[in-house]
Amino acid sequence: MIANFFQSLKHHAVEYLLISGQATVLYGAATFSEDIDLWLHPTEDNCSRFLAALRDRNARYYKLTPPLTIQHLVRGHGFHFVLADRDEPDAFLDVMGAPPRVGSFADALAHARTMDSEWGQLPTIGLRALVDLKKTQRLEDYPIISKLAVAWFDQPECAKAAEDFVWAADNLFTLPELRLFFEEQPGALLAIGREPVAGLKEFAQQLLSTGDVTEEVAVRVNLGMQQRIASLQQADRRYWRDIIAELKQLRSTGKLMPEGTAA
Amino acid sequence: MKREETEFSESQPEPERELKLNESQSPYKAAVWRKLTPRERLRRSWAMRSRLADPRAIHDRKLFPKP
Repeated sequence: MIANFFQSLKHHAVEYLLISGQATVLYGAATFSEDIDLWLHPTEDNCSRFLAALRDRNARYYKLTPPLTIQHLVRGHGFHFVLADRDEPDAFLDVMGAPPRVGSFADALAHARTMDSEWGQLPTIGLRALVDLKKTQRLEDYPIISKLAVAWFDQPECAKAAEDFVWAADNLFTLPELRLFFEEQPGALLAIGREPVAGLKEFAQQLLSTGDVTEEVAVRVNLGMQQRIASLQQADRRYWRDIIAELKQLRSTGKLMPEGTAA
Repeated sequence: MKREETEFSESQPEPERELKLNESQSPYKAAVWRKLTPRERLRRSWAMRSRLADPRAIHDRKLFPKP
C-alpha cells in the first residue's frame, strides 16, 4: 500500500520531501514511527498533482484538516489523511506546506537526500533541517535530535570541520549522546568556543582524560540542556498559537473537511 | 541491567533478527541499529508497526494531544 502511494506521487510528479518520523528512522535516530509525514512544495500546480495522487490511492481526509489549498499550505497548517487497504492496517499521512523553523522548500530541497527504500527512492529532508524541524513541544523529540546530531558525522556531506562540531554541540540535549559525541569526536573539544551549556567543556575534558565524568559536572550540564529544551518548547508553543487559533476558527465556522471525505 | 549483559555476551549483531519497539534505546542495540542501511531500518521499523494493537490511538495521541 505505501509503496503504491509513493509510486503515485512519482507518477504525478509531486514535489515533496519525507520529513519527521520516517526521516529520523532512515537516518538511524529512531527505530519507529507510526505515520508518514510529507513536506509538500506549496504551489498551486503541485497541490493539484498531490490531490490527484491521493485520489489514485483512495485517500480520505482525517481529523482537524482544512481544505488542501495553497493558502492553507502556506499558512503552515497540517493536513491529515488516511490510506486504507483491505489487507493492511490503515496508514496515517500528515502533510505540511510550510513546516516550522526550516525555511523554504527550495532551500530544503537543495540539502535533501534521496534514500533507497522498499517504497522506492524517497526524497528525504536533510539531517540538519530535520533537527530544526524536531524542536517541538514533545520532550521525546530531544533524545532523537541528539541522536541525529551524533549521526551527522556518519553522513557523506559532513566535513568533520570545526563548524560541524559546534553545530552538533548546540544540538545535544541528553547525557548519553553527549558522552558518545565526545568519545567518537574527541577533536570537538578544541573546536567548541562558546559553550551552549555551562560545564560542557569540563564534561568533555573529564571524559577524555579519565573516561568518566563527576556527578557534579554531569548534573550541571544536564540542567543546562534541560533549560535549553524548555526554551525551545516555549518557542514552539508560541509558533503554533496563531495557527491553532485559526484552525479553531475554521472548525467553528464549519470549514474543516469532514472526516472520511474522499480527497 | 543483568538481562542486557547476558544479551551482550551471548549475541553478536544479528542483522536478520527484528528489533523490538524501543529496543534501540539500549546503547548496544542503538549501535546495531546505526550500522544498518537506511533501507533496512525503514523496512524493520514499518514491520514493527504491524505489532501495534492500535496505531490510530498512537497517531492521535501524538498529533492531537489533550491539553
